[in-house]
Amino acid sequence: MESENILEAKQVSVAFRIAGKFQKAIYDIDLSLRRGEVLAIVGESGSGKSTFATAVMGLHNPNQTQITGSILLDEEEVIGKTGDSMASIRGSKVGMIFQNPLTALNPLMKIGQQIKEMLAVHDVYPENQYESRIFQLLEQVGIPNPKRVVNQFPHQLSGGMRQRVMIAIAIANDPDLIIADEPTTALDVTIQAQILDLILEIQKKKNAGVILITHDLGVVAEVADTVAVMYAGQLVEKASVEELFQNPKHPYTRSLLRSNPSAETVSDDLYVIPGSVPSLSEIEYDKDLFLARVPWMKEEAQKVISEKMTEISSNHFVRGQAWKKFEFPDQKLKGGKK
Amino acid sequence: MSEILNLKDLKVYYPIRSGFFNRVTDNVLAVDGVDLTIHEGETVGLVGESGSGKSTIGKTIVGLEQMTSGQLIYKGQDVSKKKIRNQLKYNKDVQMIFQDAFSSLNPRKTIYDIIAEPIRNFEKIDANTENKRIHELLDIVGLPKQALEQYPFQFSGGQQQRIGIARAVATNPKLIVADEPVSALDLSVQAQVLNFMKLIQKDLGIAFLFISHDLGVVRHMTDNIAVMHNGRIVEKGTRRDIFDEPQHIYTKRLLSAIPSIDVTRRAENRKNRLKVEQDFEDKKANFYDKDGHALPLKKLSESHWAALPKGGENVESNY
Repeated sequence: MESENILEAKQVSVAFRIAGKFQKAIYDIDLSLRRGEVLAIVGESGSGKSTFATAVMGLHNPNQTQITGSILLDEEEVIGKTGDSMASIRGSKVGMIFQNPLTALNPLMKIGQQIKEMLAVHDVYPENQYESRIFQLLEQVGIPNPKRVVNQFPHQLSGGMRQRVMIAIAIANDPDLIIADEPTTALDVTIQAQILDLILEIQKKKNAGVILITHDLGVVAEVADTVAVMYAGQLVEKASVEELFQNPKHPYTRSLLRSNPSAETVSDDLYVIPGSVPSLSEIEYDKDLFLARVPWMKEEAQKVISEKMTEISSNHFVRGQAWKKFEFPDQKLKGGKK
Repeated sequence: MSEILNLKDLKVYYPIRSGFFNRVTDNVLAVDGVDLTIHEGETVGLVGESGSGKSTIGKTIVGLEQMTSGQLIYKGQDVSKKKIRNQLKYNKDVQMIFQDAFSSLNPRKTIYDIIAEPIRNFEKIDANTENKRIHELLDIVGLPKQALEQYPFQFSGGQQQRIGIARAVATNPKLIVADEPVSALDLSVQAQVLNFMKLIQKDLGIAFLFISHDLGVVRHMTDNIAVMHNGRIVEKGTRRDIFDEPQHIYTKRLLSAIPSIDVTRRAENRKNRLKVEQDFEDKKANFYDKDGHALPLKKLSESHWAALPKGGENVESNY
């Protein structure tokens, strides 16, 4: 029987070798994903969201990284797998969509060949079905005139079309898990909407799990079921999408939402989070590092807190206690009204 | 508010050469007859998808691109010719902020020299005054003094963009063309740069031409907005005109595609978007001529213009 969770990550830490020393980029990440669920991971650049995704894909160089913990992909341990044993999982169980399709696609290879390569590495489809499968995929991702496109090179296609080809390659072997790392950041809004629709449509059809990595909160609100917020290599909040947007708790989540110039809010000044993400060598994992960027909560930042999040209501996890006291300065002026 | 810059029937064509003598066989109509006015101290937003010609307009204004025909009128005088630009100090008064801040900064120059360059180009001042002025500029963009001796790669993306802004502001310009200034930045840094641009506008009275495809950012920043598609403006008006009363099908399509933060109305938004998208496909033939160009703009109110077909589609108009 298939297990309900397609992905179960427990206490995943990834450390990179920097100047001879291993430094942790993500620390103690617990995340699980059900079949048919869309999980969004949000955070600033440098927060470790892509590091987590590449760990699931087994794309880290084993000589330069230390990965500890456990990542179960459809009940199979991924950590420690190298070479061929990982290659058989990558592509057939999990497919990845990258941000920049032009660099992810081979510029010297025709589109048809690139999809065929993906099919040939895994034995999900027999060889005599390759051609029909290629056309089926191109049609599924909404490419008009697939007969012409299979003989074209990536540079001959527009950005949106290239991203569709990437998606076709990622789903070629019907993976159970699709990881999309900033899939629409390089695209126009109208194309973005189409690509997101497409990912969701494929996900529903296959009942696959999707991990969506993005920093666009609008995209998260449109497609995600669950949202995990990362800061400096740790999870700081996790909840269902409705709960997270209507009842955000952690100071970082609230600050992010407030600095977003969305079409709905026309305020004069956006909230600015002062400072920047700490560098790897400065990270202390037993403190809530974001509080160092909240000028009026400096002393809270020194408190040692648990590395884990606590469940404050059903399925709503927040790290630390500082959220209970956190208020924006202008809210304090209004008498602390919520 | 007086007009600072006026584009009249601006056309920028890129020639396509082919054949034996490499003759010009066709043209790409990057910008095809655009009229646009920017007033002193205001922010005009220019939105559209990639390839719509919005960046070409920005480049033409600062002189990085040659116009094919049309007029560029600065404070009432035609500055289409290079000679006149020098006399009027046009190049000093019109500056640009680029999308990719890092590649717009010379990697082998210190921040001091980067910011000093436009001052040295346009003003003859002694080293002391120059030094003082650069420290002032650094103060305005909120960077520490040590920054002056450092090189661009030593800064984060947000700081690099602020250095780019300091350089653009250095000559006391009247107009800054900002081409996607925040699209490469994180949300928190983006907020910082946007607030900062508003602040210097208030303090120094600079007009902005804000080019972006992010409608959320444009709504936050601008007073007047022009929507471009395929080299032509399809609709222009105040922020309210465009966001609350869009008339052109392309504007409607663009607006419906913005992802909304409101989770509760997710299904509704999606339905609406698909409907608008379908609408766009159905009515495309009415709104564009047979070559795919937008129709001439029609005046709807004192501030609002849209490229609507004659009669027909006007039924839903509120004017």
